[in-house]
Amino acid sequence: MDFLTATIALLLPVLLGGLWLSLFVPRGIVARRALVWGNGALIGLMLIPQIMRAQDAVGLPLNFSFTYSIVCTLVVLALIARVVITRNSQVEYTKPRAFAAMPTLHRVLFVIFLLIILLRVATLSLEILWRPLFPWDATMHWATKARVWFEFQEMVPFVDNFTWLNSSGEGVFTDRHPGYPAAIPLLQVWMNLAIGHWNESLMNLPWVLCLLALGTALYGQLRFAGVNPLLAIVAAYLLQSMPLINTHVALAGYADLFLGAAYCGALMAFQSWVTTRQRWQGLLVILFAVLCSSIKSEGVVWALTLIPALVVTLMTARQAAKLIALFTLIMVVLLTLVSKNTVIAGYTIEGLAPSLHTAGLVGTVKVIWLHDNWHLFGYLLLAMIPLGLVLPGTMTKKFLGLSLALGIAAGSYIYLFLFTGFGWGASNFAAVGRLGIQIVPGLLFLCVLIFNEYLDRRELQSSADATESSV
Amino acid sequence: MLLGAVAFFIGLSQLYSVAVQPGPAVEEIVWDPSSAKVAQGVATLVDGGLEIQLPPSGVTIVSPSDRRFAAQAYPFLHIGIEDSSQHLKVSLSWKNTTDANKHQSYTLESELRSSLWLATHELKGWEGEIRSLSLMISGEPGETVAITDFSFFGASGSRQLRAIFSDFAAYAPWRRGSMNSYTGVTSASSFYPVPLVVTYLALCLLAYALLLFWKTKLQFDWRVVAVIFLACWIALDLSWQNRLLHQLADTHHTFSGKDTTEKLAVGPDGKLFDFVSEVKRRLGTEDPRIFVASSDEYQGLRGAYYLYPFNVFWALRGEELPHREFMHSGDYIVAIEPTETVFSPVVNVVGVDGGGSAPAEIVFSNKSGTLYRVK
Repeated sequence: MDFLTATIALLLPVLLGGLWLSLFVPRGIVARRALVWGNGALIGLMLIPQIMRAQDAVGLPLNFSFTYSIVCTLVVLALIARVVITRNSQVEYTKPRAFAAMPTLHRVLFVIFLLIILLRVATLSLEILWRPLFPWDATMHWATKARVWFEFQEMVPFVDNFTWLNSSGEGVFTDRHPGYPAAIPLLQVWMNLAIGHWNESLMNLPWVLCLLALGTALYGQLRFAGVNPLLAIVAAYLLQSMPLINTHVALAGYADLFLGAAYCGALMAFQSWVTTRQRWQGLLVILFAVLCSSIKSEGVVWALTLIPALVVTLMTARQAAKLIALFTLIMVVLLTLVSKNTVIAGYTIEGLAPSLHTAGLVGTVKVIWLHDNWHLFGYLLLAMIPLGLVLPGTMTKKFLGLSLALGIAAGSYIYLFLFTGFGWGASNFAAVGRLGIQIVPGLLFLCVLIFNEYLDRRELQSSADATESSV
Repeated sequence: MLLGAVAFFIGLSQLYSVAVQPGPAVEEIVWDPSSAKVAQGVATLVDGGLEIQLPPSGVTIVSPSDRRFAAQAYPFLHIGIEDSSQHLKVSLSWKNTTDANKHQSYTLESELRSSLWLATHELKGWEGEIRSLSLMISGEPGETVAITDFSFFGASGSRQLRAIFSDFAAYAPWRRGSMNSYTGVTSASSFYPVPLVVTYLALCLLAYALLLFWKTKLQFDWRVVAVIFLACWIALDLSWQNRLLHQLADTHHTFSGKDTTEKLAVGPDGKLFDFVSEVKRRLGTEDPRIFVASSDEYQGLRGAYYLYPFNVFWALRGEELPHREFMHSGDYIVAIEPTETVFSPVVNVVGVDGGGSAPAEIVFSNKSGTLYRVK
């Protein structure tokens, strides 16, 4: 019975996100199902906590029936809207038959990679099903809130230790990071409310769904960008086989995977919007960017990287350069004038002031290129980024916005661990790998696009050569 | 890829001969169960090995022989241990002449021990002349363990390869740091797997480049590069999948078929969870504030977590207990071992030396900790 209710609790966000997204995604586009259900599942998983927050904000208790009713209502509305739209639609759609059009060998390889992915997902799912909550931070400041909110059926405030002591704990609770966003704990509350009692295993099932949805979304967006099915499924395999990402699913309870999924979702949608200007992709960018900040404090930083990306997309190079220079100048002045205790994305300015930490450099290099956190992704990056720079117009025009966003994100990542006190988080590998989960999916997306661009140009060149020789 | 493999093995053998100085050929120190000394437990000679039934303490020490040998002459160890226990702990212990007073030890990290090749030259303290060598085995009382091999070998390329393969196929269960980084190695590993595979990848690409150079009719095909890259990725992934499957078997063995309470009782925090469960039982329907005190971060953190949804206070940094003025009558203090919190029965005060204290009474106490009620 627990498993059945947990399944329903997982299915509802998928239906919520997928059905609503399908109203906006045009029929007949390539890989529509992957786009709709991959992105939809991610959105649904991240929207459920927001619905529960709204519920709590208006004074309603956190109980399954109420949230379930809201979600079901929204699902039904989406279904009705879908029926109406389909009935009124005059256009006939031809479903693309990409898989059938592939050579036999490619189809065989496609199925093999799909099976490997499914094996991995099954392994991780069983690990979650059997194992109770395990990781450190999960029991320090994520599941602590979930436990209390589930018990009291309201979002009882959490405060820091000092405030708790001074208020004698009246009406407040405390844990190590009381100010952390509520999305992840609320997701666990949702699962436990569905099950009807506290279940430390089933409440973590959303993590495996997140991985599956992210892989599906990646596949869909790559196909949308013109990548062939085989390369797209290989990319999904590369992402879903990375050990540190797998570990964060198997030992569920941290927020990094969800933030990585939201940021990657935003980046992929951004690139797709830049290329096609389809509104639904623009909507996805905004949705994912907003959801980033609801998952972890640094989500704000990742979301903000999309602004300069947008600037360079909409403006000419000269206008963009001027604006960025002006913005940088304003930031420098502000940082000089404001108090050093001003908090940005959960960290004080003083804490972010530059000072070189060579141990942080060593730790960062080890985590990316020596340890097996990402298999060979660190080296793939070393090959693809130069390739992207060498292919004329690839990163300076076609993928300019995406490259800039990821460049700023990577630059922030390096700055944090090399030039701030957070260098300790790299020297003892405590945080540098986990933060990497938040940007690696986006970087993989860029790498595959660059590689695909290289393949397209080779094909064009071959065709041109063939035409020339026949003439 | 074949050319790359050849170049790889040639390169590895060159690197190997630099890393490990093979001296004159040495006689292998082969496991002889009949001459092994077993400190505790019931030992029986069986076909090819030594079967030991662990004593009530669950710990036994096996010394293979009194022979002394130069550490550098024996850079490889092959261990074969057959056991059915999930949580058997096996440690290699020795002294050397370089630091005669210090007991060196290495606890086997891989739980796949039926045929494990260890590069002992990677172990800290494996130097000078080795003496007092022993194997310490710790498990469940009455459990039967069979040692099928415990032999030392001289330097050779094939043994290095076997040690590398043992590393690739090794399995160590999840640990607290697993969320931060997956190194892919143990303390006895000679190479990190990623650079090793990258070296092979680079050599394959070099071989392909040379082929293109020599065979002018051959044209560059990006698919060759892609296949080489994917093959190398999959090689690493096979090792990872192998670990995941072993971990899954472990997890299934420990937790399957149990509800949350039962899982926590048999998990790594079993004793702590039992203690906290008793604390919660004693608190009943009361809704007090609870101060968790422990000098061990992990124990304090987990103890606090298991106490939710009670109103719990636990501080990661600073004193175990806050100042007296913050603790009121009716509050509880849960002191989890190890703790610096002490109770003075003379004045009925519980506190930390140099830190917070409060008048209190003991509600209950066991090896895991003590529950106090603040008066």
